[in-house]
Amino acid sequence: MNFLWKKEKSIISKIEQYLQECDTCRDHFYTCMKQMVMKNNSDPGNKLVELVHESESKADDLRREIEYELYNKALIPESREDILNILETLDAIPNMFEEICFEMCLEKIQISDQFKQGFLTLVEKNLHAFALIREAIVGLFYKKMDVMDRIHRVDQYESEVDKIERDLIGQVFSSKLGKADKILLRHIIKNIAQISDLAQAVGDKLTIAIVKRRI
Amino acid sequence: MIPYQLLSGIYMGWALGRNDSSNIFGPAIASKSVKVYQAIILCSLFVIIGSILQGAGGFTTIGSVTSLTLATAFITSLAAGLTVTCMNFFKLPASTSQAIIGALIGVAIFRTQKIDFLSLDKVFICWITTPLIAALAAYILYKVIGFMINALPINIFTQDKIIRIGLFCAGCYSAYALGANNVANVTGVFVASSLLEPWLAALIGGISIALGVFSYSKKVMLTVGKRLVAIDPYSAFITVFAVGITVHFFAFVGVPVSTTQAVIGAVLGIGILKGVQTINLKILFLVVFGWIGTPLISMGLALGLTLLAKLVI
Repeated sequence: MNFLWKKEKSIISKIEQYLQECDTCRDHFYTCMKQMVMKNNSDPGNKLVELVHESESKADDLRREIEYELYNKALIPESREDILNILETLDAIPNMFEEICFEMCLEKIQISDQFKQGFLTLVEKNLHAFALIREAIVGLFYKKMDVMDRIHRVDQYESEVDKIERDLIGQVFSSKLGKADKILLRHIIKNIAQISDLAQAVGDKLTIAIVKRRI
Repeated sequence: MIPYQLLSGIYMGWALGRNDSSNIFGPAIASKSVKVYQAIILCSLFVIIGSILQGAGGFTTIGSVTSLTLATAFITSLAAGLTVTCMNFFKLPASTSQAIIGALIGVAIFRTQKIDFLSLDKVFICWITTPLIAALAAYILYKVIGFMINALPINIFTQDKIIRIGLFCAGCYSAYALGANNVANVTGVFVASSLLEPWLAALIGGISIALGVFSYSKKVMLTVGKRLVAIDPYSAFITVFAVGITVHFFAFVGVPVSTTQAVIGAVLGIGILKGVQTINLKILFLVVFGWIGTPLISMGLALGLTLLAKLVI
């Protein structure tokens, strides 16, 4: 019966590593954003941006390894499909972390004092949504916990984020900044807010997986 | 040396093994619980064990339909085997149990022999109740096992594991039940014609069914398996398990029945429970055709072969 467990253990271990790498990427992203928003340090050589990039790449490699193992070996096709869908949707979040950091750096975006707190709140709310969806994934993959409650809370965060996003964009366009700066800021705000949209998309995949498994 | 008459029995066993093994281990293969070669070995092994340990029950039923000589036993087996092969060729669901009974009636009609209608009544009742019992078994199993799985604090991997183990075990159990129930279709006529002792008939029958399983193509096994797994893996597990219970139950009754019709019944049972329409007119036609068409074709073939034998010899 060894054939039933060996491959599965390897996949479980790789998913754990993948989630840890996503956490690392999130931590670097948060530190990086704090520095760039609060201190306006958006130097392209910023080491933190490199760290975000590195952890995103590692997460990508791990995801590919998981996909390879899933396609080749283990689990019922239906479980395989659900896990792949969840991981692929989740993977868009570290990608977004990286994209935002690079955008801030390359476009040398400076955040005016009046928007600093709003930006930071937006980042934090989105990271909360990410943390919740990560917990929900752990709930489905490893422990029996109330996954649906977490998914529901992600939805609430997403609504809050939408409101903050609209307010912030409104403030930006009411300010005395030049049009080009306003557009750049709006793009960054939209990208940050997309993190909770992506978390919500992961939540949808998780819901499907849970409903399919209800007997 | 093997008497040549027995070759038709071995052929019948081979046709049965090819026809029925996909219903049993197809879902386990499609779900990757076992590899194809492992499924073939396990299925063959459990079919032989089932035949030896519990196969003798059906011999009495087959022998009670009409009296047989070695020659008529040969023709009966050959006609039934050809019926199954032809129906497989035309992609119609074949039942070896119905084929052998049809052939027995054909031979008896030709030789104007007495047919034991009391035995046949029992057989017909078992045929008709097979899908019904399978549906009931699937309904109860789905609820009970589902309740237990839902109550357990398990994650997606553990649930996956439970279903894969379930498919594996249900496959082994159904293979055992297939051997126990259907071996009488293969060598029952040779016990009735006094060519073989029941234990030897069970052994030879089991091995010939296993030969059929071995010659089964991976592609077909996967096709049937995926069709069942397409319902959803848990339902596929329940289907195979319900088929095993149904066929095993009829092994105790001593009447060989059709695994294909048991599968149809089990899928219907799950469909009723989920409020999904899983049965349509085409499936209904196939069930009725199995009850009426298969024995009629087999009876016609048996009549033709007996006539041919009479003209040649």
